Amino acid sequence: MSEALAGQPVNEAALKRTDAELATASGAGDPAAFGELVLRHQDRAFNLAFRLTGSPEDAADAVQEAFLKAYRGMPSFRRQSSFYTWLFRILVNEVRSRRRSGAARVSSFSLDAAGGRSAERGDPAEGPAGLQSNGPDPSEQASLAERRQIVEEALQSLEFEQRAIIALRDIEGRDYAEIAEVLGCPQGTVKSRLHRARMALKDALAPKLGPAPQ
Amino acid sequence: MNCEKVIGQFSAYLDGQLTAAEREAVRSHVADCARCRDELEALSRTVYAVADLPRLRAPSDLREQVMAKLDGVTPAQARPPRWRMYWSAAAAVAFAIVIILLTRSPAPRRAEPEAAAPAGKNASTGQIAMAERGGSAGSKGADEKFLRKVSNVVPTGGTTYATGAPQLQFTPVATMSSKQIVVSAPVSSEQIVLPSANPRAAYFSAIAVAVKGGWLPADLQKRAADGTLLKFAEAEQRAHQDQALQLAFSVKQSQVPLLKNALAVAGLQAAEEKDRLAGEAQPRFKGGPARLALAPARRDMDSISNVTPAESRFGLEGGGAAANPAIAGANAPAPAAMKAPEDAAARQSAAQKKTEAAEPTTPQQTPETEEAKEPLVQVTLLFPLAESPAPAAMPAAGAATSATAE
Repeated sequence: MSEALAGQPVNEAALKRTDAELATASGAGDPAAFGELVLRHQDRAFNLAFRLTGSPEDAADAVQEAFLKAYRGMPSFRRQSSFYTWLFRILVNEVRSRRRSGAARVSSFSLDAAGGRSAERGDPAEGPAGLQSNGPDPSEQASLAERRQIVEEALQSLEFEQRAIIALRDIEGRDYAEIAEVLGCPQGTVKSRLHRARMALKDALAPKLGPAPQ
Repeated sequence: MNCEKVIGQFSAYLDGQLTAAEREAVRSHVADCARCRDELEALSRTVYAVADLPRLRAPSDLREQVMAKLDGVTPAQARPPRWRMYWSAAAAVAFAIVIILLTRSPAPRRAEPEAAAPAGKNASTGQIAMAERGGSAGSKGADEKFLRKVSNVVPTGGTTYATGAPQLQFTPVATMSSKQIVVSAPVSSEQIVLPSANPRAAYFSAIAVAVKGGWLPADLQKRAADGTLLKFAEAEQRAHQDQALQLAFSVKQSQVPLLKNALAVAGLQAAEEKDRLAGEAQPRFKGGPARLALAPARRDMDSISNVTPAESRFGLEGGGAAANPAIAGANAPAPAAMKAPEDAAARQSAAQKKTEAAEPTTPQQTPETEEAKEPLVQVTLLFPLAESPAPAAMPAAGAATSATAE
């Protein structure tokens, strides 16, 4: 039954350990345990970093640095939060400070620039499976790609903090409490900030996306 | 409430973060105010458009590079994690509660130990766990409180609530815990309420969608690949003699293309197959790709108790749960439950043809209100349990058994 999902080999031993257990082992100086954590979180981290930086290279750099900081700082991981939130807080701070220091320039975005690594939530080797098998016809695919490009650009046009909060909520699907933790702000602030950010994005998109489909 | 104030709440509204009263205020305002309705629609589409963006994978050498840099770096000694013990225990208890809820209706107990262990483990990661709203374990009326929000597995912005409890009448309740599974649908939360013939079907449908769509965090996806999640789902399905996983909700007509897109992107292979569905004797319960069935739906899904048979759908009819005839199939024995779908499918098909002939301008309901201008479409997503050669079928094995023979 697992064929359809058996894209990646399952490491039984590692699967038996929770993030928290792995974090503990990492904190005790077990790089292999940390390696498993990296494996578990790198895609999501990269995805978020990419949305924050708009550049795959900058995203990869920031993610690497965030993981290193996490490893070094493992003893300070208090476990009141999940490893995920903790890591992402480090990551967001990393990107934020890089922007401030000018280490990362805002580069123009292109899906192609991502080196075709768009995973489409499926096996990358298969490409966007759903689209190929029975999805929209090619013209619809093209318009989907165009639409996404427009959305990516609009997202990049927002302020960093707005982009971050939208990415965390609408791409990462985090709840308000987690977002508050990652961004280091009160939950009430998340609510209002998120609203402003979405409205800003909506305004940026409105002239480009046109009326509702259909 | 004035427009400005209402608009200010849209975002929270879409996220299910408002209280029932606030929510109702937004709804009633939007019902009367075309401008605000457009605004909400636009915001909803924005949220969806973002959620629809493709997920990127980390460069293949990223881990290697990180690991290389770890050389010579030593974290300070970590403290023994005392908390973990408690957390695990709490997770185990929470899971036990869920099991009790899940098995309130007839179910083979033997499915539990197998399922409980891995799922409990999941819970302890804090990334996926099951939580129920309100009720304490096995308390009377727990079913009424059975409401699941499946989290964080979504390529979309909306929030989906899986519920099968008739008495809930689909009032979405925001549960803030991160220890939940959430499946979102690409529509505003207003439409994303999931009636289902039974709570477990809805819940495991949600899991199935998540797994199938690859929306789970990587580690959970692996567990899913390992079969534990789906085995559990399967066992539950078998136990309940529901031979297909299904998700049902309603969307606005204009959102159907978005929905299809989202499904395609998620690799769900959903296709509109109304004719075939209608023509099949036991249409949904064999293996095969997920199917998307569309039918006209009532505007007000909140008042499910008023849904007439013609408007209700598979599995929502038949049986005899007194509290709510319209969805009495909830705990009906298999024969009744299996019989109903055929009738429903036939009716549904008839209703569809009517709609098609009339769409997009003529809604099924009397156009008393402006809202009726845009009819809702009842969407049923079916995930037949695998028995079919179709490689993209739900990766669950051999569950379509005796009940389909009815």
